[in-house]
Amino acid sequence: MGQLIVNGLALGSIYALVALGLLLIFNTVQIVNFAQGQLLMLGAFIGISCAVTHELPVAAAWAITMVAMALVGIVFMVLVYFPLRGRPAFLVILTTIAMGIVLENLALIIWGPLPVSLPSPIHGPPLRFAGVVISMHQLFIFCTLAVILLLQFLLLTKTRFGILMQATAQDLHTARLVGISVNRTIAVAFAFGAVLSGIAGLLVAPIFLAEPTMGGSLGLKGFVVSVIGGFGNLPGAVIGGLFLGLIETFGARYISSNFRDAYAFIVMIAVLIAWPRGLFGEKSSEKV
Amino acid sequence: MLKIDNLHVSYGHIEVLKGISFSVEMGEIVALIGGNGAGKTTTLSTISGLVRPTSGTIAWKGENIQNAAVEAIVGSGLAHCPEGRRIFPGLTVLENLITGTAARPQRKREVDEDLALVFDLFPRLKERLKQGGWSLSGGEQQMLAIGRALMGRPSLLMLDEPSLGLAPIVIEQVFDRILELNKRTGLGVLLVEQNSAMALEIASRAFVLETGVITLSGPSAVLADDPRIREAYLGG
Ligand SMILES: Nc1ncnc2c1ncn2[C@@H]1O[C@H](COP(=O)(O)OP(=O)(O)O)[C@@H](O)[C@H]1O
Ligand SMILES: [Mg+2]
Repeated sequence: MGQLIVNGLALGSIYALVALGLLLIFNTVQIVNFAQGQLLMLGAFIGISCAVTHELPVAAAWAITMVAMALVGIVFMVLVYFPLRGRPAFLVILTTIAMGIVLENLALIIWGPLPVSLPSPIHGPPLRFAGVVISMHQLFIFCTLAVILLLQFLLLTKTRFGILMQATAQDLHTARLVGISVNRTIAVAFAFGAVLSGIAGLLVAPIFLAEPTMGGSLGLKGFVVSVIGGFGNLPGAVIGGLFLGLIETFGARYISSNFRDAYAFIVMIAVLIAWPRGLFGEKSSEKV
Repeated sequence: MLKIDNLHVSYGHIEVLKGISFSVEMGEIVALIGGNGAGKTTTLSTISGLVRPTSGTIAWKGENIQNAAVEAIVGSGLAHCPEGRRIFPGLTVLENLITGTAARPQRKREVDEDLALVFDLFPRLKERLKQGGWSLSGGEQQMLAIGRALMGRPSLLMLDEPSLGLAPIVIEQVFDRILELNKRTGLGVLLVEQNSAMALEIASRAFVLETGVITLSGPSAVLADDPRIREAYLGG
C-alpha cells in the first residue's frame, strides 16, 4: 500500500511537470499545445544522445538538454504561434498537433524506433522505511518537482519580469499598451514550457524506456491532469497530476493493468461530471 | 510636441479615421470629444502604435512614430490610459504599478520617486498596496490605471474616457488630480471624453470628432458656448 503510494506519486510528479509546461504556455497565449508530449520525448532523446551516445556525465546531459529545450521552445513559438497569431485558436491547436507528428517522425529518423534507456543522474541504495522502498530516482523526481515549483513561484511573483509575464497572461492587449515587450514574455513562456517538458522526459526515460512514440499518451495525460485541476490553475494541475499517478498505480494493481491508460480519461470524465470546471477551477483572475 | 497630420485609419475595408489633424503642445491639456463610435479610441490606439494608419504622420518630439513599436513609443514618454481602465485583475496594486515601468529605464531611485508621486496623488492606492486589482472599486481602478500610466514617466498622458461608469463625485476627484498633476509636473494631457462638460472645464483647447472627421476645434471656453456642442455633447 505504502509502496503503491510512493510509485503513484513519482509517476504523478511527471504528469504534473507536463501539465505545468502546458499551462505556462496556455496561460500566456491561450493555446493548448498538443505537442507537449513530443517535446517531452525530444528532451528524453537529447539527454540520451548526450549521456549514452556521447558518454557525457548525466549532469552535463541534463544541462545541455535544458538549454536545447529552451531553444526548441522558442523555435516552436516562431514556427507555430507567430505565423498564426490572431487566427482562430483551433487552427493554432491543430498546428500543434501536426507539429507533434513532425517531431515524432523526426525522432524516428534520427534515433530509430528502438526503445533506449537513460541513466538517472543520481545513484545509491534506495531508502527503506516501514517496508516501503523509495529509489534514489524517485526521491530525485520529488525533489525536482519541489524545486521547480519553488523556482516558478519565485520567478512569477517575486521578480519584475515575472510580474510582466503575469500581466501578459492576464491581458495581452493591455500588456502591450502599457509598454511590455510581449514577444519577450511570450518567448520566455514557450522556452520555460518546453524546458519543463524536457525535464519530464529526462525523468521518465530512466523508468520507462524512451521511444519516439512515447510522447502521445504522456502529453494527453498532461492535458487531462490540467483539466482535472481546473484548466489554468497551477497548484490544481500539480494536485491533479499526483492524483492521476495514484489512480493509475492503484488501478493497475487492484483492477487491471490492461486499462492503465484508460483510467486517466475515466477519472477526467468523472471529475468533470461532478465538478464541471475541474477540482480547482474558478476565478479566471488567478490564472498564473 | 505631438502633431497628427492627415491621419487615415481603416479596419479592413472600413475607414474609421478620415484624415484627421491636430496637435498637443508641451504641458497642455487638450480634449478630444466625440460620441460613441466616432473613432476616439482608434485615434489613441494609433498614436500608441497598437493600430497602424493607412496614411498620414504622427510626429512626437520631432520624430515620426507612426511605424514605431509600441514599447518604444511608451518608452519615449507617451502613456496611454485605456478605455475601461483595464487594470490587471490578478496582480496587486503595487504589481500593477510595476507593469507601468516596463518600457522605461530601470533606475531604482527614479522609480521610487514616481511611486511616491503616485501615492501622493492617490493616497487610496497606498492603503490598498497589497490588494488584488479585482477587488478595487471603479474609482480606485481608474486611479490605479492613471497611476500605472504615470509610472512610465510620461511627458504626455492620453486618457480614454476616464469618467466612464464613475459617480459624478468620483469623476470630479479624478479630474482634480489630473489638473493638479498638469500644474505640478507640466504633464501634457490628451483627454478623450463623450460627456464633455468637465473635460472642457479643464482643457485649454478641444477638438470634436464625428465619424472619423474633426468637425470643430478651438479654445474650450469658446466650444463650451457653441450651441452645436451644447446640444450634442453637453445635454442641451
Ligand atoms: N478592432 C476593430 N475592428 C473593427 N472595427 C473596429 C475596431 N475597433 C473599433 N472599430 C469600429 O471603428 C469605429 C470607431 O471605434 P472607436 O475608435 O472605438 O470609437 P470611440 O472610441 O469614439 O467610441 C466604430 O465604428 C467601431 O465599431
Ligand atoms: Mg472609445
